[in-house]
Amino acid sequence: MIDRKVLGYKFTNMKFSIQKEEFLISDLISGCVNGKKESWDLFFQKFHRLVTGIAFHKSHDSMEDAVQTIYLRLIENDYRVLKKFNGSSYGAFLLYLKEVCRNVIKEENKKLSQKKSHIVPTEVNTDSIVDPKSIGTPENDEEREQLLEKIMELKMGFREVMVLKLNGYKAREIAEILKLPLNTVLTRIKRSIEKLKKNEKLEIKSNSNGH
Amino acid sequence: MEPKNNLEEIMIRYIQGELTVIEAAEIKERIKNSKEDFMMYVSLQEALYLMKKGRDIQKTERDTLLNLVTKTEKINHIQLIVRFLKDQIIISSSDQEELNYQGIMAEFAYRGSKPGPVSISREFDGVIITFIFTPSIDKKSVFLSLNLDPDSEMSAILSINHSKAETIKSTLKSKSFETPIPSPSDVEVEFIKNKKSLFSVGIKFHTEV
Repeated sequence: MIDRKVLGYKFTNMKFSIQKEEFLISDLISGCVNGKKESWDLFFQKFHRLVTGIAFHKSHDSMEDAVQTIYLRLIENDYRVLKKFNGSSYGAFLLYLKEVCRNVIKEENKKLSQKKSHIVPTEVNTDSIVDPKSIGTPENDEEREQLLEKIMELKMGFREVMVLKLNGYKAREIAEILKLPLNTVLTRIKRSIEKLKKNEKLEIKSNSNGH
Repeated sequence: MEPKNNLEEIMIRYIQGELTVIEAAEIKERIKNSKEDFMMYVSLQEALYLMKKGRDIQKTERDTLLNLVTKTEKINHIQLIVRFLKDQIIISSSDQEELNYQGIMAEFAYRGSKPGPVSISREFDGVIITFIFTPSIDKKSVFLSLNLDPDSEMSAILSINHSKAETIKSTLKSKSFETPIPSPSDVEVEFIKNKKSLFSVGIKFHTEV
């Protein structure tokens, strides 16, 4: 449990500086829902990289289209999505926006795959060394939650690698995110899978499919 | 317990290596022992990585997106068309949601009748605002004054042909614009309260005397 006194921080809302004025995240969102151009400019400055990063990483559509779809979702029904944010910090909004973007892209990918009349996997992993099927690909939230429970039993360093892998990141991306050598990541993935298999706490999809 | 929002800020600092050794150890322990905190930590790692992979907005993209995300005026904007004819006044007014015009016409072809003030009332956010148009003596322009019921404090900016012409700083102190509005002209009156634009009214004037 964190003791504020031990940390000695004053963790109030993170403030942004622009043109000698300071904005709180609540002010920024309030300005955006009121259609203020300067607020949206600040929003673009602070969050456009996240929107484009997710669109680039997750979307099967063109990045430009995906970015526009995300912004449209943010403003539809009189800025409902922005108004729903009830946090008060930059970090909280970062996480909120990430989830919104991810859900929008997921829905769009689903629509796109239905249009093309064939299934496009939502979490493609092209790692050549570790077969992604060997840890199973959860088909729904319940399966995902079960898998997460198993992963939580692993040691810390292994745990974070496996959660990122479950979230669809490739080994080299995980290495970049966690600032680890690629070989370390690959080793941890391999050992995690071995551990999970050994404990017989994971349903191995490849086995159930008869592979 | 540390408030959740504060924890997110601390986590970001932890990921970015900005905490002291003691502080970082505290956070590490917390991440290790709490699934919720661990998931928040991983999620923030992801967000920061995705931001790194994203790109800054370019000018053309910014302009396109700004048009997309800023509220269009149609919800808070009505349009009036006022035509002063020789013995008639025709007023057409749009709805606040759509620019579908509904018009009314008044005839004054009585012997000895003179052009007098014309008023149009609309309700915005519980305030009935009456626009009073008074023709000038030479009938080539009109003067605009306002009446608010209930009387409310806001400022009103008059723009003529897309240029700001005059501002009433407080509608409690003054309700008349002194600038003559020529005909024909495009006029806009924007109402501001607490630095926030409440609504605007566009008026097209046309006089045929």
